[in-house]
Amino acid sequence: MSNALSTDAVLDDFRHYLEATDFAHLTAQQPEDLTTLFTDLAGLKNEVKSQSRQFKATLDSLEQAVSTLTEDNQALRQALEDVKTQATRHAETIERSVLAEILDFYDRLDEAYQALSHYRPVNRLFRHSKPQDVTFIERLKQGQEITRRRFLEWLQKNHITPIDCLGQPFDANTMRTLAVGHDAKQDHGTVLAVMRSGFRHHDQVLRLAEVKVNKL
Amino acid sequence: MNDIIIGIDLGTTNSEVAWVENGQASVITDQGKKILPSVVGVDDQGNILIGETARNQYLLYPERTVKSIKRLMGQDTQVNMAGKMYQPQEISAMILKRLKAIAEQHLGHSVSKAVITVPAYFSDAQRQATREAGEIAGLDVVRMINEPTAAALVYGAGQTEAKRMLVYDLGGGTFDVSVVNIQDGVVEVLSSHGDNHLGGDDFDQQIINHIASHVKTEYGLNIAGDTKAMARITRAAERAKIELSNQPFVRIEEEYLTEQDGNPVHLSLELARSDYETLIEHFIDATLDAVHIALQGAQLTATDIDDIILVGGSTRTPCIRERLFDQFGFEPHGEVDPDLCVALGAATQAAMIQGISVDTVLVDVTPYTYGTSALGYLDGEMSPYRFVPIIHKNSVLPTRHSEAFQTVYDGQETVIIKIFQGEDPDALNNIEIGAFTVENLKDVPAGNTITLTLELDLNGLLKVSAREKATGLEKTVTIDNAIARFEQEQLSDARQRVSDLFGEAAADESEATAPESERIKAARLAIAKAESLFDQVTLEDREDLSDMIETLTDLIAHDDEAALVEPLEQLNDMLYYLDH
Repeated sequence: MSNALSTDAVLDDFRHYLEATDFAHLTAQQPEDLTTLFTDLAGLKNEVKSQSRQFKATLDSLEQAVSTLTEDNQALRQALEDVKTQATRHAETIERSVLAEILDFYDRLDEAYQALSHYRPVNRLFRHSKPQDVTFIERLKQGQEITRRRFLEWLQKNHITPIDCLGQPFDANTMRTLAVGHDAKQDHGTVLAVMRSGFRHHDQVLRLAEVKVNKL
Repeated sequence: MNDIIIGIDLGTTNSEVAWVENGQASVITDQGKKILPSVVGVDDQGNILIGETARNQYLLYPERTVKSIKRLMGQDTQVNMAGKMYQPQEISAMILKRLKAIAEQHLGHSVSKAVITVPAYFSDAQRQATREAGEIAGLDVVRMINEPTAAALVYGAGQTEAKRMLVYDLGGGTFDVSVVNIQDGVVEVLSSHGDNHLGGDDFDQQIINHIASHVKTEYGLNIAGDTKAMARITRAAERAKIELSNQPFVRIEEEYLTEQDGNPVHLSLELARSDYETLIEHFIDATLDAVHIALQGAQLTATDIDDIILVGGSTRTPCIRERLFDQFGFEPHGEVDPDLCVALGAATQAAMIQGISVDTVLVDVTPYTYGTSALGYLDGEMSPYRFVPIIHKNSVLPTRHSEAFQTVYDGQETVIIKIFQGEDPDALNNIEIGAFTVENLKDVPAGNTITLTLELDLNGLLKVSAREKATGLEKTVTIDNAIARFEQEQLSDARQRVSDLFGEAAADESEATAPESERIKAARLAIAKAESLFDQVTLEDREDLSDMIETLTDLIAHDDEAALVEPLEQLNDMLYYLDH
């Protein structure tokens, strides 16, 4: 109501103003009909009203669009995070299996080196190994040792470190007992032999060490 | 969220925990590992060890380590662990507690309810003991379901029509077969049979014995006493078993296996899949006998079975799938990881109890069998068109399988290889999807081995390669779209049949499904908009609009795109004025 009253008051003021003002210079050639003017004004007012309504509707739908977009964005971000986590996990699994296969080659290199280390030239009264054969095998062993060392260095550069077991107390987190032995000179639970080396990748166990443990 | 129910497969050798997230069942991992060995132990400091760590110390401290406790469930007995006596359910509770902790760690909140699976043959006492184990572990066992029920749910939770399934469960150390009926998510076990001491470990043992006897023949060496060498042989045997799942031969090589009189002993031995299958044949026969006993128990025959589900890691052995196919005449399902299937089923049941809908586990599988033709018996007669499947239907993609073939006559220099899609034993009844020739084979007597490898990826790309084993001569061809192309062919066949029945109408419809141009889409949009304005405009405008709509519809029907431009523009102008 107050709104309507104030509109009337404004219109009254405006009417007085129009009556009191001399518009002669404006209407000199073509005097304007007040009714037409007011009709036009009312039309304009309606136009403004409908425009503002449209603006409001547009604003509302924009707001809605923004909230939908924000929700979508959040869902997408979450999905992206999930995919990222999955991808990282997948990559880690693949990395571990590749590294485990590489370790298999290291094992064989190591076995070959051990076999060469066990070589003893024949040294009996009437039979001797040929000196050149002995030298050849010695050099072969040296070569194998270098390759094995370089392999270990490469592993270490890639954060793969051997688990220290021999002479250490058995640790179920990093070792698996494959055999038990009896050595009264050693403490119970001491690792007597490493049957397959274990490795850590960073701080995680990549492969368990397989060991022979002293049991008293 | 706090009353989430987890699903647990409490196995004899291994256990797993799973849950349903966003409608998908998945196994919860612990440091990347999905499987927890069902082993419990006590360490030097008196701490409880569960899983791998306990298994690691088993040989050193058998007196303080317990495994396979499931075999003792329900018995009035106690086991000694580190000088203390425990009931079987207490040991099982320790495993359950660990699984609960793994789930809680993953979910980030406490868990107090679970569905636990038990073998179908478990007695009331055994079930009660399992329930008690859950209670001791702080878990309310909301339901205990049979293992075959869980497996059937993974494959048929959404099944509305009644289906009879045969669940063939071959684990590391146990074998069970069950006949179940599934309808509307309710599974009923009709019969069950099994062998508590038969499993994949026996298969490994056969290969180990084979290798040991090879070493004995080759070097006169008894390797069984050499723990280190035996550990390597055991690993090699397991690897060979896995590789033989998709290739016809495997080379088992362990250089510097051991030493004999100061000399290194190397192992290098080829094992053919056919030889391996002979080694394990009697085990497979035993499982098939059990299958028939289970069928008899349910008073059914092979023809009454709608589906076969493979559960347990050892079912990856191809001859199991083949023998079942021979007996039942259709391909078994094994696409959901057979090691995790039961746990996933437990999680599915848990979700169903909570009222959460569960989607079928999504796995990309090949819908067809792919293979080649070879000389063989077809209905008792020799035929060159006997179909030899290589990649079986329902195989998880991507997949790669090889099969060995032999030349049939002396000095055979060429082989023609045809690739077929289908399941009919007569290759000519299947669809030929490619053919090629391998030339310049070695001039040798009949029996020259050719290995044919089929590799199918997720995009339906089928790579076929044939390789002469003796020389390494290889020829490869790639067949694009091996999965989709023939679906389309079938689709157009179907369309043809339908249009034959209905005449023109169906043909029109198939045309309408062709992709539309942007302009036609725009015209349809404008028409829809014009129609929606009908009620708001004057009679005069309405008439104009309907004229325009008519013109446009005619032009669209005649696919006259060029003529569309002008009337479309006019209609859009009209719409603009009417709308503003």
